[in-house]
Amino acid sequence: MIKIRDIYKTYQGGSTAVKALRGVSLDVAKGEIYGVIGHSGSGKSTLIRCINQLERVDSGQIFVGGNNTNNDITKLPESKLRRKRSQMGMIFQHFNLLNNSNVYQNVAMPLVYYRVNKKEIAARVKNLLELVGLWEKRKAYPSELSGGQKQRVAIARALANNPDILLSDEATSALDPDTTESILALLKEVNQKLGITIVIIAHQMSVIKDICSKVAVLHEGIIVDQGQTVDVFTNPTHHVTERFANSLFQAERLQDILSSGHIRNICAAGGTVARFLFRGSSADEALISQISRDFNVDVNVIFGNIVLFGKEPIGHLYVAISGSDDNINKAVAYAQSRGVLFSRINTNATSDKKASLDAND
Amino acid sequence: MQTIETLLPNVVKYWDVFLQAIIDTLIMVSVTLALVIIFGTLIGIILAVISKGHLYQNAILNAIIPKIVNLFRAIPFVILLALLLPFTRLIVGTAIGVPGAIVPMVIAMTPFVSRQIELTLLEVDMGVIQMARSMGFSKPYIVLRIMLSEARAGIIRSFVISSISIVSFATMAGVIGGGGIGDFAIRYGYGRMMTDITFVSVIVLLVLVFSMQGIGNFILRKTTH
Ligand SMILES: Nc1ncnc2c1ncn2[C@@H]1O[C@H](COP(=O)(O)OP(=O)(O)OP(=O)(O)O)[C@@H](O)[C@H]1O
Ligand SMILES: [Mg+2]
Repeated sequence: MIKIRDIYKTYQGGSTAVKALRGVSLDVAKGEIYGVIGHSGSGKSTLIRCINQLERVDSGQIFVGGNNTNNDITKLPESKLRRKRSQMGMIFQHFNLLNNSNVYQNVAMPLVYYRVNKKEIAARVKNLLELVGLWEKRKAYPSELSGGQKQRVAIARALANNPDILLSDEATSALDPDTTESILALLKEVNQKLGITIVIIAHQMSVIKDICSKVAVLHEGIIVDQGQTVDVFTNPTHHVTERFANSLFQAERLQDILSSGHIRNICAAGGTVARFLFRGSSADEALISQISRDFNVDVNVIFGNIVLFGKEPIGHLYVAISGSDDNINKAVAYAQSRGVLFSRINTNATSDKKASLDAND
Repeated sequence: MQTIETLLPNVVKYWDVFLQAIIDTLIMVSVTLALVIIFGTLIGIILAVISKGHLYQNAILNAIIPKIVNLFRAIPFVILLALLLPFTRLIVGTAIGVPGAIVPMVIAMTPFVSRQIELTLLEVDMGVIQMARSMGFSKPYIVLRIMLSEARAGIIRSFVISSISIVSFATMAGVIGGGGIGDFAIRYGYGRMMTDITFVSVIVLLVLVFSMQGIGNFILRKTTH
């Protein structure tokens, strides 16, 4: 549906130039919810604004809705581009509703522009407002709506032209957690009911893990990790991805626990601190009790939690294992053979409150 | 009737001239206001959209047009009246009377109004403009149907403020042969020391100003939220 090939974008700002995107490639399949996460200034908004060419790229190609050259929107002249844009809805962090128009008029706005006849407009607006649950509020003005309601109106408006693609730039960043959840649920519903491909920009992990099946991690204008959301965050290859994953698994709390006397004693006696990550079927087995039984090791659970990626639960467990080196290695090998992701935690550094993950396979 | 005649003898005596003066002022003010609204809005839009980062951003025009507008804004009205004499004659055939006053008034007021329109248009959230662009709207449509509509409160307010300035300009223009209430008040009220004429002239001007403010607020209430 969207195919981005090696795009570069530099902002010329007087004496300094900001390289916002430095060779980004991305594929979004039809019907997918694709997330892009990154810290502030990483280039997320620039990337999404390139997809509908609100920002022209310096080089690279962006194919929307097909692979042939006349679908490369970086080459389209303004008039054809406007046509293409009408097939892509966009929602924003600050809603961008017209303050002098009521809810109905806001949703009808794109239909009025494209000269849809009055009767059809009325029917479509009613449909859309019912979809987002705001038909009762059709006569209200934006100033009379809550943030969540405003975003619902914006979503209805973005869908008015029957777009194939919905672009969301931090649509939930100005909302509280409960409202965020309901807006995400609405986006999911839109995706499933209408089959609309959605690209979501966010800096909150919660947004990505709740509804994005795929994710790209953007850092300083480069995609440093991408793939299935669960894979990316259970097996990060870049430190920025790792930091996002750690925030999700609350790994920062580990530091305090590792410096406790009890854990130090275990380590001093030759024990190992490790992280187990359980996915899918491996989460259903009684692995901990099994390895301690079969390999004669003591497994001491330090800290753990379960995070839901969409509907998939990911179990995350920090344990201290003690026993002979040989037995520990066998136990670990067995756990890995059962599909559990294992990584040893380097505890030497715990005294200065820094523990780093030692990938081990 | 008797009391009015004793209280305001000259007003009654020169009632016909006074009435003509009021009509002249009304014509001067309304024609000027109409032209200022047209030119002011037009130039205001241009100033806004050529600014950096806006729909029709243009560094060259943006370096020239605002300077010209500011130049006209800096010239005091009385000087402008004199400066524009030849130009006024060229356009309306005379430099005196109601038509002769309208030309310099329009030229004096337009820069003020266009600056105010520019400011209110620039207050329209860039996010809203982005949104309109993301829907594939054409730029002229965005300017005329979205920006003007979103900025209408500020625009109407600036029209109200400028209409009040126009009354004051029209009064001044009267002094140098423009006719109208200002001219009447100076010639009779001041020149012949007919205090009642000065007094009533001031009242009429105040009523004019207040009713324009009232109309403006009414329109504002009817069109904004
Ligand atoms: N119009 C612009 N002119 C100049 N520089 C810009 C412009 N827009 C963005 N930038 C710069 O480009 C970089 C990327 O900006 P972008 O808005 O894409 O980041 P972002 O990831 O969306 O950040 P945030 O999470 O804060 O929204 C930043 O360094 C920013 O300062
Ligand atoms: Mg952004």
